[in-house]
Amino acid sequence: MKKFKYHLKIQKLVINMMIIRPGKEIEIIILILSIVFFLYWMWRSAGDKPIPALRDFPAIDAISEGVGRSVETNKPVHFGLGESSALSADQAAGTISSLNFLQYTARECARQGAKLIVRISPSPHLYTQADAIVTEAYAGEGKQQELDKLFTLRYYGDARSYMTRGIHDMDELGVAMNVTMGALSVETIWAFAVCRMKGGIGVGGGSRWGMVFGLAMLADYSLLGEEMYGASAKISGDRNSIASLIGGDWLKFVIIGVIIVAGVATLAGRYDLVSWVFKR
Amino acid sequence: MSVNYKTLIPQILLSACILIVLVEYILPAGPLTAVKNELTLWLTLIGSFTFFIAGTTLVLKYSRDLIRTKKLSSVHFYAIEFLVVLFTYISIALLTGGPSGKSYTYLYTNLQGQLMQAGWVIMAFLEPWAAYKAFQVRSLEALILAITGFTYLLFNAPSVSAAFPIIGTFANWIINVPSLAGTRGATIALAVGTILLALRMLSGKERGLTE
Repeated sequence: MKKFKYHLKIQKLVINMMIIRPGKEIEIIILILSIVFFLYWMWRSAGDKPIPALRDFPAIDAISEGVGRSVETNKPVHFGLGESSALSADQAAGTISSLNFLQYTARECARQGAKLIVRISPSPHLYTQADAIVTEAYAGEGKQQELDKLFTLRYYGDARSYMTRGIHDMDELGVAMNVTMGALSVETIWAFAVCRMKGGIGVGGGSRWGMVFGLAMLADYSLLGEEMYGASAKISGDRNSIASLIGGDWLKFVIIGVIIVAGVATLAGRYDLVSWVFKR
Repeated sequence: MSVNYKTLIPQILLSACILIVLVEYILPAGPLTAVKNELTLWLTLIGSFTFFIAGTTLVLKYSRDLIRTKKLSSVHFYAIEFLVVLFTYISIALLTGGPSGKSYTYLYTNLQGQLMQAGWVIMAFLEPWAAYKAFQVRSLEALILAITGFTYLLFNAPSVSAAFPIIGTFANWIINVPSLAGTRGATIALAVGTILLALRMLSGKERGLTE
């Protein structure tokens, strides 16, 4: 008991000394750790020091295959940016990954000469982003003249139009492959359902937990949850993105460690420690 | 000029804002809280203004579509639909008491609302088909989903769960243990991804947002 009081006193003293907002100690420790890991891996990236290679993702190879199939069948590749994607709040990380995939897919289409249709999310800010990315991808392959923006870039409006006109385009023009990435909602169902009906390959990835079931059910190749961030860093080839992702993995090891410690503390009856960590 | 001010200035502003928000989060409420609140207000204003820019971009896009497409096609229909709806809504909002006015609300509920309902109804046809596809096991993920999904379907059928109570125990275990753990794991992974994105933005390593 004495030890416990002594422990609480030290805890309060540390908090007062650090001038930390009360009740947020564990969150702030995790935030500081994430900054430390991030800086360490950025330092390694900037100094050309070796960085662990990311594993292969079958979904990335499937995109190249799907583009090839598009050329053979003369049916377009449909790319959906995600009906809930936006460059704000917690959708931003998934949306940026989706834009990376758009760049990769557009470049493959330009290189192999496949038709591309980009369904642009209802968030109107993404129209300019998609336009710039697709234009740059075609210019990068020296095929800017082959890009028909009117055919390729399709902004449908709100979520209702995004779905109905997206389905209409897939039905009318056929589907060699459908790639849907980003912050997904019901698009996970309809896009891959229609893609399968039309005999296309479905490649999908989503950061939203609630829609993972749709990807598991209907996509031929799926990037579930954080896999999408990993695959996105891999296709971007950006050392900084890969390095920061590894920093994130280190942070996850720490969080797993905290969960294990809290589990052991619960078994040992040290609920004070558990309540301090989890605010319960 | 060796420095690209077009990207440097937004980057400095972005980094400063993120830094203020981060430090304010760590410290107890004080002078920085007022600065953060002020910045949040500016963010709302800037965010609203970007909708004006995005709207202008779309008006230009659809106007170009109309002018460039010679042959009558669905392009014309979509462009005219967009322009008519946009300017109708803007005019009604400006002339009849804003988006909370009676006319605007009437239009939104009876036009937009009905169309939204019609849109979601399409999903009713696709969902059973998707559920049928879910039980065509083609991968390990689909197998896990099929077992858990089928168990939960049985649990929701009153006669089955009454005849075999063990199904209820198993279904509740699926919901309370693996599903809950998965949800929490995904939430943690998402939070880590978001923190890293913020740090990349803070340090100017996230190229997509400033270039």
